[in-house]
Amino acid sequence: MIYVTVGTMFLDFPRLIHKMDEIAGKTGELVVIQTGLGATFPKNCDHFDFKPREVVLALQSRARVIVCHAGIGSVMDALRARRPAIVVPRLKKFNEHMNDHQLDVAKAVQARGWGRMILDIDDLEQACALPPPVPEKYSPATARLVSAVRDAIERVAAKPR
Amino acid sequence: MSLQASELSSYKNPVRVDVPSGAGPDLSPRRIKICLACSHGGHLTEMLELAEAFHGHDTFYFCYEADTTRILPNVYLVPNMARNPVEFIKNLFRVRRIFRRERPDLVVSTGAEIAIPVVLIAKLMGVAVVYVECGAQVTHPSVTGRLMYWLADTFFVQWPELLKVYGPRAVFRGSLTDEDEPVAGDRSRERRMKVTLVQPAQVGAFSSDQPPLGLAYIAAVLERKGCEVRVIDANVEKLAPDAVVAILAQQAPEMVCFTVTTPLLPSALAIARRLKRMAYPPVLVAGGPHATVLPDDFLDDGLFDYVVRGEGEAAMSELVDQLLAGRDAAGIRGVSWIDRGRIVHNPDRPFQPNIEQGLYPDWSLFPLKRYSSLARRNDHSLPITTSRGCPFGCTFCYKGIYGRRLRMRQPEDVVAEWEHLVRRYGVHEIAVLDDAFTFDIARAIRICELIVSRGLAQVPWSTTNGIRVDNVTLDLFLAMRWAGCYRVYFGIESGVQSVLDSLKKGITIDQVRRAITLAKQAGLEVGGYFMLGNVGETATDMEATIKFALELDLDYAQFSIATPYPGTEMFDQVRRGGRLLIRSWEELATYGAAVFEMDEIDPAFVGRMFRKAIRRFYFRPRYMLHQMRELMTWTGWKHRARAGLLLVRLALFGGRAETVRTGSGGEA
Repeated sequence: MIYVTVGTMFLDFPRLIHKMDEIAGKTGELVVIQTGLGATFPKNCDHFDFKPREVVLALQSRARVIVCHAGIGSVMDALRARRPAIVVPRLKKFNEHMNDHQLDVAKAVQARGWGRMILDIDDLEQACALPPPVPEKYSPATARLVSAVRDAIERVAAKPR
Repeated sequence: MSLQASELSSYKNPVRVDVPSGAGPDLSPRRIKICLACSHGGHLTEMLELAEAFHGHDTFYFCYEADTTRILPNVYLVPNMARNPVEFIKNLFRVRRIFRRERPDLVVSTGAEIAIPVVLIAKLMGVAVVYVECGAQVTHPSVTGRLMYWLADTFFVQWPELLKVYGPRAVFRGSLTDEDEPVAGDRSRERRMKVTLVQPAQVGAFSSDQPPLGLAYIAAVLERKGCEVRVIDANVEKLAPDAVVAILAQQAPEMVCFTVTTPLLPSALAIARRLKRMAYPPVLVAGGPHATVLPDDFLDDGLFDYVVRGEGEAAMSELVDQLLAGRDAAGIRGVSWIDRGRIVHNPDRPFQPNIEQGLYPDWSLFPLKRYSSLARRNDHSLPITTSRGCPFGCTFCYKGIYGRRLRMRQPEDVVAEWEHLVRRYGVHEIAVLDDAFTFDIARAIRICELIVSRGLAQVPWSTTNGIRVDNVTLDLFLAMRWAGCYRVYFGIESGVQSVLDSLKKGITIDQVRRAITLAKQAGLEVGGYFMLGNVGETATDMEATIKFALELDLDYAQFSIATPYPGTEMFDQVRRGGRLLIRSWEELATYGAAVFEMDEIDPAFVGRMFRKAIRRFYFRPRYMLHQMRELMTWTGWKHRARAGLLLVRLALFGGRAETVRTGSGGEA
């Protein structure tokens, strides 16, 4: 099963949904797409707009491959599911986003070896057939950032008011 | 009253520290009120991921109206203002009204533009601000982020790539998405022990604001153990002992470790005494030069629990393991401690021929934006050591930590750390601290070649602590120049051969001249370090040193007054044949006059010579003209303005007028 998500962005992402629909029709593999606020819907795939977070996380952990847009929330979830991740950035030139920051996120994911970035949507079929390896370890420094914020709070609390 | 050097032979601490009496400041953690400002989408998700950080404090949210925000506790909702200027103005008034009611101590924001009105009002009302840039910004700053970079008191980014784009005020220390290298697998969630590392300060005294390398190594070791680590560099933050204690009271760590050089002993003891009055006092550990030479100073009255002598990484690591297992320091080599009321000095650690590869200092815990050195071209620089120890026997040099046996790191490991400094911290300059960088010329050249081949040569660097003049070649200097080095500093010390000999420096005047010529031929600037008032020196010798410094055509010179630190041969020489004129250890760190009397060394005279050296070297028209070139950059301006003020002050007063005694803690 391939799990596909386009996040909560208000702009449509037909480029990804149409391509995944095509792949599902060709290979017969089950594809589940979260379509969000967009108005594009697939024919050959299961799809829904939103589902509760625990359902989404369960779907992701069972997926053979996760294909997601390069929104930071989707990327965080996909990486934490520890499944092969393919990241397709929404691009401004296709009116999929207001700017190209998703390109930076996708590039960072690829550069760190966490997943594969797809720029040309025609590469997606081959990428789904031969998914990138799951990184041996992925440990985001969440606790460290929490500790850093806490450090800053302690400094404020130490100042007499 | 002056201290007889002979009194020090008992290794007794000549410091009087007030024992605080009566009710001191409140040392319990304080509950504060925090305003959490964020918009409703991913920014809110990030805020909720950070929720653990606000535990134990009161919070209220300031958000846009949406399904996701309506369910938040204590939330103020406003309509989405997007780019509507009317709503923006309205929000300013809303925020002011809310702040007057809620009286927050702190604003934490994860963006986006909703942060702007909140932070503007917070700054006007004197409320501190912490801003966490959204994880979606990897290489391009957000519009809000650009503004917050200047407004926020603490500005976090979540990708190291952004550091270069923003600048030294930005901090990368953990992320909700990215991994963070120095920890080698984020183990801080384990929270096995909360540890604060402290560099105490002599507030008001002349001190160089160098990032403390030893502490940064210890930080890396402890984080790898799964400890939650904090750092207080009281030196660069200009914190008196009381301010340090106030911060420690809020942090409530289980262990506090101090790095202590001799002049900092009184401050360290003052902090420790106050900590002992806490309801749950932390375990106190001392390390660094003074702790290594005179461990009893810390253990005598049961103030500190452990002293780590010499190189601290391995011993600290074992100590934490033992304490976590509920055991004491028995059997940990290099540790002194109190066992059933008796001071025990465990045997020294065996010599470790190799420096661990891949263990790099963790600088992310340090207030990097505050470090600035006049001896560098750029602010936001970090140090590196490519070797440890030095085989030479200079009488003024303290070698208790790294020892006299030279251990050189592999060039590949050195350059890997070099790259790490550039990519992970976005440094604008690197300072090579080793005494013996060029000891093995082939190795030094190999390091330089690797720097070039990894594309790191555009990052400027210098040999900041002074390398030796006796083992250098034109080849070496050319390789250094091509690898980005712009200036070499040499330890020259004196212009008189007999003084150099009695210092056991092992160099000749001719070697000095030759090294400077070669460095200049390679296109490097040259800086020299000199000492006045050495043991056995005469007035003529000091005059000769000043003259020598002038004729060498140096770009930079630093004069200092010879100071006998405990643990050096010079200290023993003074103890045997002279008189140490200090009432307390902190007076060792003054610049105004010599701190000892011996033969022809008269403290006031040495002070006069010191001021003369500065006048003669820096206030030459030719030199000042030469410095004009550096005024092309903003940092050049800043540094020269600061240096000018400092030099005028030093030339007129020396440093003594600036010295504030912190022995009594600087409090009433």
